[in-house]
Amino acid sequence: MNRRRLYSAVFSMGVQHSMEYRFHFFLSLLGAAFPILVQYFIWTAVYRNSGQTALFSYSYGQIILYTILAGLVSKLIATQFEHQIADDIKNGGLNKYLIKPVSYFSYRLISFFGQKAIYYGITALLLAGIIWFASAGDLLELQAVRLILFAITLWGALLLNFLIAYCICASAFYLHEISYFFLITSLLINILSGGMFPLEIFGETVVKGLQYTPFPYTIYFPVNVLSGKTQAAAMYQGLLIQCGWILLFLWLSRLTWRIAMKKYSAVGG
Amino acid sequence: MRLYGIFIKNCLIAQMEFRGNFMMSLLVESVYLFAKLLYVLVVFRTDLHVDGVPPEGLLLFIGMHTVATGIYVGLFFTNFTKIPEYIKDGSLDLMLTKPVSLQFMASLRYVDLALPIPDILVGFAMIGIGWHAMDIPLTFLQLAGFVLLLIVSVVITYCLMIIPALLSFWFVQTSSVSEIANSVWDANNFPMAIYPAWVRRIGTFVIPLFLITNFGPMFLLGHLSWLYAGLALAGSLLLFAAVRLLWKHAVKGYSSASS
Repeated sequence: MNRRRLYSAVFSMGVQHSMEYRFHFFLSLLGAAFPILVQYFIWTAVYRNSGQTALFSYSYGQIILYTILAGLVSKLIATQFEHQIADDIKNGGLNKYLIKPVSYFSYRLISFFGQKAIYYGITALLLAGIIWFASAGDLLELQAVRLILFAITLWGALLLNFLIAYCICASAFYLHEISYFFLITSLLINILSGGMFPLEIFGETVVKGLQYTPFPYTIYFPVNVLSGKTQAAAMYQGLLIQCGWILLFLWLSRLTWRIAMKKYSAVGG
Repeated sequence: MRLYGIFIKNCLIAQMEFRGNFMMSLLVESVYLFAKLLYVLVVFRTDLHVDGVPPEGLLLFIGMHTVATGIYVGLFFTNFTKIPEYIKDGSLDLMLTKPVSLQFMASLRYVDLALPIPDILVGFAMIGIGWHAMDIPLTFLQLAGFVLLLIVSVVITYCLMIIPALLSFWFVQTSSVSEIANSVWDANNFPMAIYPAWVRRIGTFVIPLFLITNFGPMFLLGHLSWLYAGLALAGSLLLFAAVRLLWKHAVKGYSSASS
């Protein structure tokens, strides 16, 4: 089987896997709406009480838009394969990939994109609705360049988050029980990426410090590109930095797995 | 109660066997708690007043929510996650043969003693700070009312959060319903006054979620009379009876999966 046919089959399997339980799939979409709704009511109360037009440098409209977009983006880029990889390493499921002419990294990446494809399409539709609604309500100035850059940075965010998670997965070669570790890292990464709140709530120093980490480039940066909070020059600079982080983590993921794989002994499977 | 004591002892022994896991559980819940404390940061940084209650008073609500979360993850979460597994792999069959109430066995068998520690400690600390800052007298009546509403909160938590697990008697994959329930659970982090009237009505009378963390602090702040505290108790007992009936109905339709 040539590589193209092989990976289209893996991609198709990813799509089928995400649609295996369709009702579950649509309920999980609904599940993403609740935290956004809760935050909407909290921010409404905060702005109504404060009487100020801007808090943490966001106007009321901007913060609501941020909350909705960050909620959608964090759901979109969420990785759920960590446990499968850990299970492959622990129980020997990795063996079958090692003896086959397929790269485990590519298999996981393409399968991940396959699993996210439908979600990406639905998110795109939702975003189109939100963008239209926000621009009609003067919350968002619609610019073609921002829309294009947002679509690019969103794919970048998806890839970067995959690579970060894949690097973390290498620790499964060293730790016996790792599910807790994944819970901790995914939640911390989500917070530091601006998935819960805009990073400005932590204060200026923390925001500046976080700019030197990859995390803001997964949620905070794409969302602010679209909302218009990021200035034009900073958008292109941010895009370059995001590409830099992707390359760095691509290299890191290969390196960590190459080192960790030396420790692996094929048992079971 | 004796049997429940044995369950707790058994879980403690099991958890002490893997002390590393015990510490990791503590760490996981501490990180979740840190995420919740971000709301406190927002409250204080914006000097949020809800319905005339200052940030220090809001600590009563956030603290109560944190304590309720601790009780939920400690007493119920593990069990409610396991119920769909029992149904899927047929291990409920074995439980059916035991001379103990099936609902008691399936929904209360496991107690996690690590997860609730950070929530309970920090939650009660927040309640203590809020209590002191709002100059609420520390009398027997205030304490009794608060403890009563804490019990109401535990009963309602059990009744509401078991429902997604019960759906697995009819559907195979129910984790997304549990996910929704957990998202809705976090709506309780703040006083219900931040929500519009229709949400408050649904959250009080239809799905009595707001009774879990709002009534205790409201009682302390003098926004809730003893009559309403009594009604909340009666409501929680009625809800428990309804869940008991639902459980019995669900078990009637259960057909063994395997084993």
